[in-house]
Amino acid sequence: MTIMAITWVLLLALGFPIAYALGMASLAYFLTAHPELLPVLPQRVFAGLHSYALIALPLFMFMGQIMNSTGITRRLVDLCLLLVGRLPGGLGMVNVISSMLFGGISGSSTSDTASIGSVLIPEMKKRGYPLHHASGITVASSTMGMVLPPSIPMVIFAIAGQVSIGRLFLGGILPGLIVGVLQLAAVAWMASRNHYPREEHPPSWGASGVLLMRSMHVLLMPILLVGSIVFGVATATESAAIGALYAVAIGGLVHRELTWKKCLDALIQSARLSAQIMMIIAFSQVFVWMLALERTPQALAEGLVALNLSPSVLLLIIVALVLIMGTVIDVSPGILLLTPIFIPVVAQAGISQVWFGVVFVGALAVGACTPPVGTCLNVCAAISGQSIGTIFRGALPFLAANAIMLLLVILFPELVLFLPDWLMPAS
Amino acid sequence: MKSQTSTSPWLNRLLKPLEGLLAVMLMAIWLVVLLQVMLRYGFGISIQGANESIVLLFVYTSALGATVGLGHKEHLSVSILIDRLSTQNQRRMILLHHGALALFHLAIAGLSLGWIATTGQFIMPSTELPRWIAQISIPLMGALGALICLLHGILTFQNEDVPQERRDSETSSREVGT
Repeated sequence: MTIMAITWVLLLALGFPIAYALGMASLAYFLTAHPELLPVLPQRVFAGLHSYALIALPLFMFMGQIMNSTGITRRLVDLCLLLVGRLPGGLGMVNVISSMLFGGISGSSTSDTASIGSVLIPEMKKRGYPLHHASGITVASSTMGMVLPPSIPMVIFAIAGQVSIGRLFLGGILPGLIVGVLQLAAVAWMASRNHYPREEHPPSWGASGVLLMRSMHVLLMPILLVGSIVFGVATATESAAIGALYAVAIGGLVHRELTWKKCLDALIQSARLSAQIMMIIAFSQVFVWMLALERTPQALAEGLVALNLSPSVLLLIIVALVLIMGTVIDVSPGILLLTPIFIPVVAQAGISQVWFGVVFVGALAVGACTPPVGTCLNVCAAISGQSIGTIFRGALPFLAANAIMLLLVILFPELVLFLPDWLMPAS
Repeated sequence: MKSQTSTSPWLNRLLKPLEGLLAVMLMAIWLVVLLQVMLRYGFGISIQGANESIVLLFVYTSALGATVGLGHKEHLSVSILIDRLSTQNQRRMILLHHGALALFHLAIAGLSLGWIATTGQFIMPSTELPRWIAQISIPLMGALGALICLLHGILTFQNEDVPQERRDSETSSREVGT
């Protein structure tokens, strides 16, 4: 195991792709420790790819791509301007609310950072917001997309941890809203300190009505996606397929901005992006198999349970570990590598897997905004032209909202479990 | 998300048909899933072997998609240390990457052939197709991956690939993920 860990870290540091670094480290493990088990390597890779539930990934991504390419972001931003633009720090508020809506629709934080950031960061700069604040709000608010349903990281966690996707989606709603409200409060506080401007919207009641009507189709999307899973109408994969059909219908028939070329590009991009995550999933299956072979999760679980910690203290320790690891590891590999290690620990401590899942994904979401490895930071750096360190400093006041949410959710598990227990009680 | 183009026209010639195939397979998966839902609620029936078929397509989509990702050098990686190297050392490191990845892909292809030989004749429960039809995606990924890494290695050696490669990998690190 030590050989595998050292090889993986070394290969990562040398810049090898995360997925292949995992595969090569596994190969090194087999060659040195168990050469007779080498044929397990392709078997586990195949087992990692051979999953019906994971088909939801490319379909959710396809839906997000279609919505991106058919002007959805612009309409959402316009709607948010209508709702909160006239408040002090209006554009900052628009940024947070847009992320809340967009993240709840596309399920992807990077997509959220790229789409909302490219529209709002230049606009905020023009209106006198310091660039690092504009970028910081964009990056920090995009983390809501990982907690609010439908969330791609939640789907990955549900599959890695064998947890109900519907219950996880419901569990993420209140914590996601808490982050949003706290980030809005942070924007209001900064607006009053720095005298950020209000926006002059809307131009007229009639125009506002038209805007609201146009956006209604989009706002129905999260209800359709989550509702179909929660009420047992469709599986996550089917829900993603229905969501993609809905996006194509809105883009083609309502907004009339969908072309065959855009549809084809969206299909190719989704297949390419999901394949990259699937490779990490496939090679992490080898890693998970080796962990089981070495009985590492059981040993860790027994060690931690022997400490006799309360569930909240145990979760606080796990969150601290995840936040540290989140600085060097991205969200998807983080979920895939750490879930098999932590799940036996939380199971032995009697912690609900849905509660743990929301806390875990919430902590990894913060990791997406912390240097040196933070996908959302990197996307924002490309858009704003700032260094990731500067953006991180700008995001810190807003990431405090995520930290408070994590603390609240750890102390009061009902914030996560209330909705799933009410609407989708575990059998 | 923008589509990245590779530096070599002959590499592009290899990647373009694969991308077309990816689009067709993902479209097929999407339509079959939708059809399943419609048939279930509309007529109370299901297509035998549909789920197994789309999982089969999905395995190929992932395996070939990963190969295309290698071609475009867009797999998620951490490039903090490499970015600090001189151009000459970056070039050496990239050559090392391509060489090691080509060998790794060859190893995957070789190892999977033995596994397919022993288990490939078993029949899948719904479609009643032999399992090797799905399993062959792994050596295919290995062989194509090795070929692409080799082509990239040659381009890097000929000094045609380095600056673009750095830009590509940086951009891809930003673009990939959730």
